[in-house]
Amino acid sequence: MPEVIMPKMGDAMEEGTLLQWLKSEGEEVSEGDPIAEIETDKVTMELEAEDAGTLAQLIASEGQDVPVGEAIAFIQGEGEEVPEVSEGGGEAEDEAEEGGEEDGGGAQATATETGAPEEEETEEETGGQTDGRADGHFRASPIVRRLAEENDLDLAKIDGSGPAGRIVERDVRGAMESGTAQRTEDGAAQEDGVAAPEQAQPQQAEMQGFQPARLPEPTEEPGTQLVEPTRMMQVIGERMTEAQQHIPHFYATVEVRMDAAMALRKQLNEQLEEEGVKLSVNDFVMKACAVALRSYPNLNALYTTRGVELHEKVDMAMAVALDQGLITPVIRDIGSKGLAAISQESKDLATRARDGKLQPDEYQGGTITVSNMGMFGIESFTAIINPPQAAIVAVSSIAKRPDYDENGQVVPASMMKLTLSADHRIANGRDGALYMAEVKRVLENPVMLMV
Amino acid sequence: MAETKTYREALREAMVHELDNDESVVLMGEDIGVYGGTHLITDGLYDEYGPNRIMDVPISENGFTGAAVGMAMMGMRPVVEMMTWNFSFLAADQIIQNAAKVRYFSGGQVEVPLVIRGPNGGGVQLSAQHTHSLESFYGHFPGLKVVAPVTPNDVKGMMLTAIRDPNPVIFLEAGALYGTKGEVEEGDNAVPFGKARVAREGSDVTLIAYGRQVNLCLRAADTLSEDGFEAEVIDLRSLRPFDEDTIVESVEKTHRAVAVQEQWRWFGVASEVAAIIQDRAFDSLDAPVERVSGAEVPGPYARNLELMAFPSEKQVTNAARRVLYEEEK
Amino acid sequence: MSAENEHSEDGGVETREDGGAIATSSERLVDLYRQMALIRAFEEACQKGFRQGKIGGYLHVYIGQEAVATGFLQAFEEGDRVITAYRDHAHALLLGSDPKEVMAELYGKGTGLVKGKGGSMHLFDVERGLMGGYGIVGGHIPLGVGIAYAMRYQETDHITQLYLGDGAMSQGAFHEAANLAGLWGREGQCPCLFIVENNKYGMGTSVERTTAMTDLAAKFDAYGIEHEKVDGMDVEAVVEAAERVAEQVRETGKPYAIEALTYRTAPHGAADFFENYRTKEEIEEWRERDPIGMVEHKLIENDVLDEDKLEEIRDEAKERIQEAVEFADESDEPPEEELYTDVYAGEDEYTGEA
Repeated sequence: MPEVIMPKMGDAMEEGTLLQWLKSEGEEVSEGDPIAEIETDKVTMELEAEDAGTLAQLIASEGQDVPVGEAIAFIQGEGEEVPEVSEGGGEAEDEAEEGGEEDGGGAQATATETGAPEEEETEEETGGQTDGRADGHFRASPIVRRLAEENDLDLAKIDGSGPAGRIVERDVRGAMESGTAQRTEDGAAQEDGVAAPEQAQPQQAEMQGFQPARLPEPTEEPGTQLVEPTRMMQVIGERMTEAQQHIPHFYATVEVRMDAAMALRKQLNEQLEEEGVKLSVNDFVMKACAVALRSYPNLNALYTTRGVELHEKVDMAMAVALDQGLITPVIRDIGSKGLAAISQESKDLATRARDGKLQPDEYQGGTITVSNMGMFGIESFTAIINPPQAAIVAVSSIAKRPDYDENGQVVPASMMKLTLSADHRIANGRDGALYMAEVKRVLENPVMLMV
Repeated sequence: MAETKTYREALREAMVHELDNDESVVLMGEDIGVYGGTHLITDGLYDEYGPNRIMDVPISENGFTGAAVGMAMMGMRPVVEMMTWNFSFLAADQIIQNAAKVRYFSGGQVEVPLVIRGPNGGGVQLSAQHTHSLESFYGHFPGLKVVAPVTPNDVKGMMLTAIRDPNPVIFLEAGALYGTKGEVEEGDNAVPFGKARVAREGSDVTLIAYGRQVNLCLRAADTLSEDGFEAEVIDLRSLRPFDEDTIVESVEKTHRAVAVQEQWRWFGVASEVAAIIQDRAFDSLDAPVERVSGAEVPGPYARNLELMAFPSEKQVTNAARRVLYEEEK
Repeated sequence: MSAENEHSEDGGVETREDGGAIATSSERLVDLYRQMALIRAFEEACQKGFRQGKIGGYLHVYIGQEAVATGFLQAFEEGDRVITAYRDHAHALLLGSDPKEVMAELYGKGTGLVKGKGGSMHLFDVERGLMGGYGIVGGHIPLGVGIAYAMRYQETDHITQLYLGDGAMSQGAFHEAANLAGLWGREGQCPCLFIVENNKYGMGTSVERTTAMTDLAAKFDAYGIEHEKVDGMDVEAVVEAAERVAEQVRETGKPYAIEALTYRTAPHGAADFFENYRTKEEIEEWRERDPIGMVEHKLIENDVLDEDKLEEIRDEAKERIQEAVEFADESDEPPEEELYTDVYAGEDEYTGEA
């Protein structure tokens, strides 16, 4: 049986109002007869019958809004029966609702309900896994977050130099060089020493800080040879540039009379010869530097994002020259070790360093560094601090010089210069001076080394 | 083989090349024939090719652009000159409603191999009604291709590609640079659309531009270099289709980007560049992408005001310094 | 019959009292009737489909104007082109497009004439010469002139039938394009037949209310284009003018304009506020001159066909259209991948997604 529907009378029409019926139920209509007056938001017009027959049932009531396409009446042809419909105009809405369920809307809603908690759980899990570096409470540029992720850095340990403290790439590069931002929560000491080749990561190969601000192109003239920096050279360059530029160094030099220490060394070496131990001057100096730190512990420290971290134990790094660079293996807790142990350990570390056989945990970290150029006859030099450490002691050669004895007589003496480079952010000049005076006192009274 | 030619000569060379190779190519425009062209791009062609191929038309952009669309639908390849792109608003209905869409709403039954070309942008004291950069205006509409070459070699190569393209091409010439010279490859040097050009390599910051602003970026890059920062300069040259990959690759290397455009900032190409970078290279960024654009005013006449209304080298270098977290100068 | 003596002074067309003095063969008249009946049936089915919500967007039907396109397209020859605005269903059907595909297009189906991408306003059948329906009043006129130019540039003897409404005559695009057509036609380079379908109203605004120069054909004088008027309700008159003038345009390569006075008895769109701009009486008056009714009258009067035979023809048309409606109804919507096709031509067709 033909339905009379609410017609669409404009491109944007969604519903219309049935203003009034022009025919009543049961009345005969022919095609084209006006049967109702319809109002849209734009126009009022007569609705014409599209079929002939009896106006069987008026579904919509006058004044009712009916969606486009919904039946408002039926026209009964000969022999046709009127379908059952409910009262008034509620039919359309009921149908719409039922239709929705049949379409699977109900099932969908159920699916959504069961789906939602799962999603929440997933989010919670993710949230649980999220740690401090990614939870957004550091302002950091995207590349910084990526580098932190890839290099296992803790952004909490890095100061941001960008606007509003944003951690930017140069900050994180600096931290990578200095090793100050390694995550340490799993207990492994991972702070960087001066890098060794196996430590270098792809990102580090890209580092640009090694290069001074403006570089000339190679001349490529005859008689020149272009040596491309190794990865280690790049990293050292990076780190030293960074240290020299960012750490406010100050220097303090003392001249130490080494006769007593030399005498003790000779004596000990004779006694230890059978055990294969041969103490070096450097072993004495390192031990002296460690002993003196007991009195001036503020030079046994690291400069960190949140302050100066004082260390009880002295982990002494010793600079070892390699053919193509430099590395600083570390003698852990040197203060608790005797000269013989220090000597053996330092020789072992140096040998393996030159063979490239150090493990990362043997050259990473360190709380202070000693660098010795005495073997080359260097009279005096200053060293660049090995960040984030507070200080480095530069050891020069021992030379015979005239000196005065207690009686004011000129006597030959074995003299050695030690130069402290210290981070002025950590220590003041007086601290450095007193410390170096203590090192001198210990070395000149070498019995102190035995306690 | 390459020879030094002006932008103007290179452009003409491309059109001559296609006039010779394809009978269906005709040039249309106001005063392009007998007069020789306002910018002398078509100078001498009328004598050589005659009025049927070098068609002078009345001052009726809507009419002749629409007629060109009809010709193109019939398989001709009209190259329409807008004396300046400022006049194209009169033809916008034809360009946008017909040229760009007719292929789609005909269900693919027609092609519109049409080139509309002319000088784009300001810079020569023509004031408000003659100062527009229309790349994002036309770039907005699917169905159009939009290119903006800046070097003589590209203007030739891209015009060859434009004329051969079966789609409507909006060919935005660097009007202020018609007289500039550069190396131009001999013969058929067709330059594909959708491929940006790295105009200068660098590692610290990427400057992205097109048209006249590419040259500005190259100057800015030299200045930055004196301070130790090496800028990579990317000449987009094709805006639709757009080469996202070249930008993304560069930013993945430099971690910092500045997009430069002569047009107004709002809804411009630079905004699109910034969006693409944040979308595809977010994890490589060290700083928010900077945009350098024209001042939000109609083009002024007075020279000093006009200069202020366009991006300056200083604006570009300072934007670069900001993304580098360096002090501005 | 000359054009001049047919026009009253106010630019209107006098009705031929003899019920059509043109001697059209009976066979041909029946054929014209059949074509117009098909259009009428199609348009009525469209109105119904629109009310049912099966047809979206705008719907502009040709009811009342059938004689114009039917008459003019009798002069169509293979290779010719037709371009018109958005009231374009009749043109497609008359050029031989399958009513099924045309209806499917209106129903937004993948089997539609333009794959469901254009709808009612953008029917194209380039193979059959239909260069499109266009949605911006007047915007297609420059295209038609360009198409005509190309025909001579490509050294063919085809012509372009360019249909436009009275409303388009106020657009700049019309004047610019007509100027170009006159200019190029001077050299025999623009075989364009302008057909102004003057149905008295641009939507709801009468010609009198849009221009002080209501003789629309005469406007072509400004561009050096010859012109005349024809009774657009009288299909025989239209055929006569069309064949004569098309031949002239084909021979000379010069444009020509004919203003066909006609009337849209249907609303502008699917429904409109007709009582705001015209009276029921006016519509009834024009219904008296309904182009189909007039042919029916003549066929009966001349004893060519009786009422039963006429009804048979109408039923045939309705049946054919009913098939088209069923085809449209049953066809699938366009596949989703069609969203991104046909944006660009050539190898690098744009897919729309980065």
